[in-house]
Amino acid sequence: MDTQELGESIIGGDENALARGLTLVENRSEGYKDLLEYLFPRSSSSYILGITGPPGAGKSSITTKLALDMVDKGQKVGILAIDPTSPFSGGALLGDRIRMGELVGRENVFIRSMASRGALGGLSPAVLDAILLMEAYGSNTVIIETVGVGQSETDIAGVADTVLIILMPGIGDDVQTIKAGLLEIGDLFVINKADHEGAGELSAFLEGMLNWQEKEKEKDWNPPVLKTVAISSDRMEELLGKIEEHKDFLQKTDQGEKKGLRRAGLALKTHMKAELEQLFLKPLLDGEDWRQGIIKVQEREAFPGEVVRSILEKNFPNIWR
Amino acid sequence: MTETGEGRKKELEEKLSQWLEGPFARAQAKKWQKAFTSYREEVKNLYTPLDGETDYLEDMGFPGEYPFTRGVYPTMYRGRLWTMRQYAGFASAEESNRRYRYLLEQGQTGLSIAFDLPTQIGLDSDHPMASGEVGKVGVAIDSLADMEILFDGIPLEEVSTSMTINSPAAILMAMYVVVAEKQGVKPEELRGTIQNDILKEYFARGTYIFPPEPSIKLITDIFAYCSEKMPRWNTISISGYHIREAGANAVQEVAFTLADGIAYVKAALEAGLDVDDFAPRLSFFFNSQMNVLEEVAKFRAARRIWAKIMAEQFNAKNPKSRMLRFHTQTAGAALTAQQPLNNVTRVTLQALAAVLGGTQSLHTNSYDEALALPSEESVRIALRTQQILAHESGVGATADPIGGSYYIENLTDDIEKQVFEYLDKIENMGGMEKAIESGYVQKEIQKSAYEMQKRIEEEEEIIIGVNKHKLDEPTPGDLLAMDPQVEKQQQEKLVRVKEERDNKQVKGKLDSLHEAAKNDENLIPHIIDAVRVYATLGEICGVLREIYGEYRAPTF
Amino acid sequence: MDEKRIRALIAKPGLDGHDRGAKIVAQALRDAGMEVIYTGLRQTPEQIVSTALQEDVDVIGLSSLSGAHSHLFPRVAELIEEKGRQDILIIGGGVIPEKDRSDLEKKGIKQIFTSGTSTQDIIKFIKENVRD
Repeated sequence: MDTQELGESIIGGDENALARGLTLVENRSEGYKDLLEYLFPRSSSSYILGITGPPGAGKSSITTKLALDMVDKGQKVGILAIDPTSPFSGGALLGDRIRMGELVGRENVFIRSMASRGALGGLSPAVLDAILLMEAYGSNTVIIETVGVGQSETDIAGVADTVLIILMPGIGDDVQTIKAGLLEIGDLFVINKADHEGAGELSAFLEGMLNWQEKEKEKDWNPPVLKTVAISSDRMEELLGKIEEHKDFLQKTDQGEKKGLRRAGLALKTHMKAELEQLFLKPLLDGEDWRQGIIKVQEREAFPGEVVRSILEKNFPNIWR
Repeated sequence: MTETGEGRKKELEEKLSQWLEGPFARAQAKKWQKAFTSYREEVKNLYTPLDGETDYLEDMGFPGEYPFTRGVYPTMYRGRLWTMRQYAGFASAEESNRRYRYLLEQGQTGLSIAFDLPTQIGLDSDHPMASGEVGKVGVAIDSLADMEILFDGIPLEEVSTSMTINSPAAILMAMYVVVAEKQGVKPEELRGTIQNDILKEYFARGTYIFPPEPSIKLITDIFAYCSEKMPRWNTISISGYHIREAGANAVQEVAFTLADGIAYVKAALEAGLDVDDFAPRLSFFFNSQMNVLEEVAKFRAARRIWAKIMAEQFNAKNPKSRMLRFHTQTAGAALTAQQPLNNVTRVTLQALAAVLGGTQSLHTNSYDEALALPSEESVRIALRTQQILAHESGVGATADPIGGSYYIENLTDDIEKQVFEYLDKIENMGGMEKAIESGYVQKEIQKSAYEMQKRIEEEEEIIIGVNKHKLDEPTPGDLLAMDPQVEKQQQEKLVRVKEERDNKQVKGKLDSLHEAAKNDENLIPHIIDAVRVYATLGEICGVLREIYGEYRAPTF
Repeated sequence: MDEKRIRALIAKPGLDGHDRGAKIVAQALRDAGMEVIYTGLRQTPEQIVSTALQEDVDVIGLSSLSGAHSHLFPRVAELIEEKGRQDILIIGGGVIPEKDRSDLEKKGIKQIFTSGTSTQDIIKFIKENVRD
């Protein structure tokens, strides 16, 4: 199947084609750029909801309930569930589907598990491309679920319209370990399993931090904190209400546009980086000068910066002028 | 210790270090191999009185007395042999009934019933998810009608019946009560056991239906009902067997099983029961693996730990409340598909460990179970293995015969210490339900299982016929298969039952069950009423699903 | 630039709750550099196939110890064929009697691995038999 045909099928709502397209962009296989270029002008932006938090906090359960509700309201939902790639083997265990059983086989829901691959802890460039494919397929909402350890939690803010952070008290998530970065990017907070020991402490801490931050920044949006024991339907209604409120807020203020600009910038930067790497960096890294440079540095004959400058000078004369 | 005792101890210490540095070190330098317990503690080459100081009266005591390290009965197997109880399931109620009647005619007094997976998960045989599973790992029970056939002609006041059923345990027990009622047998005369141990289902066996909280509520309902109406019924069999099968080591098996036990005791106390009213009816179920000595120590440690927990943490006064009585099954996962007859030897060793460890009842696996359902011949050999142990080996003559061995006492202490460490950790997480919900227990077991697999593949751990002394062997023939007709017949029977019963009555009883569940009443009387009018297992679970919801496993 | 990884789906069809083997295999495949999607318990063949297609996996590993394999495994293969995705490799494992094996292999399950199989053998088989 050539790229255009694949693109047409994706736009036509062919699930199989979307699945294959996602593999193509994830693998950076031949033709993936053509596919993206074909799809871009033929698709429109979706609402992107980022969900993050520590392992075991209940992200997948909440994702499932949210998606079910959105589908009931006539939307088409795409879910990207991202888990870390093992730095040792390059493999990954993608287990989010275990808790998404209710969504499997449902119409208008497409779930794709993705490994973070090269992106150290953060979102790989392929995630942005995957969102585009989902949009071309007709998804109105794309949910991106990541594990909130490492950098992905802050990267997600560059991509999502709304960031939902799910925390739980106790195990593996002491108050001290909540990084300030996580608090800064959250538009909504859920404290799940609020019957566990330490829930009161966690929510007091969280609200304290948020109040402080608010004073510092004078944001117009005051991130709400919801406490739940299990994901009951009442609490889901409340959460959905808050998500809608945030959507409205984005539309009514300039925040929505700002987020859009940031996302566009990120997309541009990602592609720029990829091209630069391909065009300039890769040939240099494959070259003889590079190999010899390594030996020189290792034997302390030359300082790394010096070697780099000389290689650049040789390959791109007058680059410093 | 006396002055001379101190002197002798010093002398021993000196002589031991001379021996270690001299003869032992010289021999070790030539050739020597490390050895480990299942929980990866290094095993020393020699144990002496210096390894841990046992206080006989406090740590060991006498059989039948606190802390029960040496056994729960004063006479142990001289008074009464362990019960040889072989777990078996046959596809249909009719076939099972024939087999049970035959076994009873042969003088067996205990029945052990295996149910198929749809029954265990609360689905009727016509449910789409049941497709392909009906009658596969045990008997299919949809309604009282099946239970009537299952026990037709079997006098329930004379037999003791063990049922491996967990999430829908209340429903199967209710059916048993109604069948007995129709035979003119009162509930207080009934003897038997329901497994009824939901917690391990969430992390080791997988046949859960509802979330933990309402599931535990159902269990305490059973405790309350039985302490009043069925005093001879064992209300729960708290099971480590499946935890070990899932890949746990010996310490984890005991720790997670007892942690489950603690959770049930706490729940029952919270429900307002008195500890000495229900605790004497608690029973346990463990696995017996290949490492004979470690297993013996495990059983001894489990008894001592439980006795301490019941006495110290829960203030149980009745000695029976402090007694850990247990059933044992030999390790299913230790059976190999390669050279299957070798499994007879494995089962013999595992059974030996269980008997040396003081088990109250025992199931020995059949040698062909890694290949298919066991044949009649292999089941018979498994039973004969127990009979040979009982009557020829002489191991039952003395209570706790290897207690007092330096190694065994050291291992027992070591396992106890490590189990308490786990129990403290779980307590700090807010109890076993929370530890399961967070995935902690699953991860611990998963880690042990994967590391063991790697050790086998790297040949650090030897399994004869699998990674050493392999053979090219012909494929075994003659293995028992289930009749594919059962599913259809069972579905037809279900249709008939639904046609013949009074559907208005069924609806009424299900509605009142619904109300009772909403109002948090004890559900057992309502369930009994519902099964009596032939409400099906799937219908009853359906009502409860509506109110309680369904459990979903955490990711791993 | 091509960063292809083998994607594997490890699935538990039917009601069987024994997942020790499935989880060990999932971990071993991960350690061999594959991206492994695990479904959890109680999946219908329809759900497994829907997952396999959305995830665009190269291989499906089915595990059952309840004796329902003869019914469930071929159903997965059948649905995969209906979707025109015979390029996906299907393998199985569990307590599977020898006499059922050849039948399963005829019905599209490429290889059956029973207890005692080394995970290295499974990895090797997958690497040699997945689509390019």
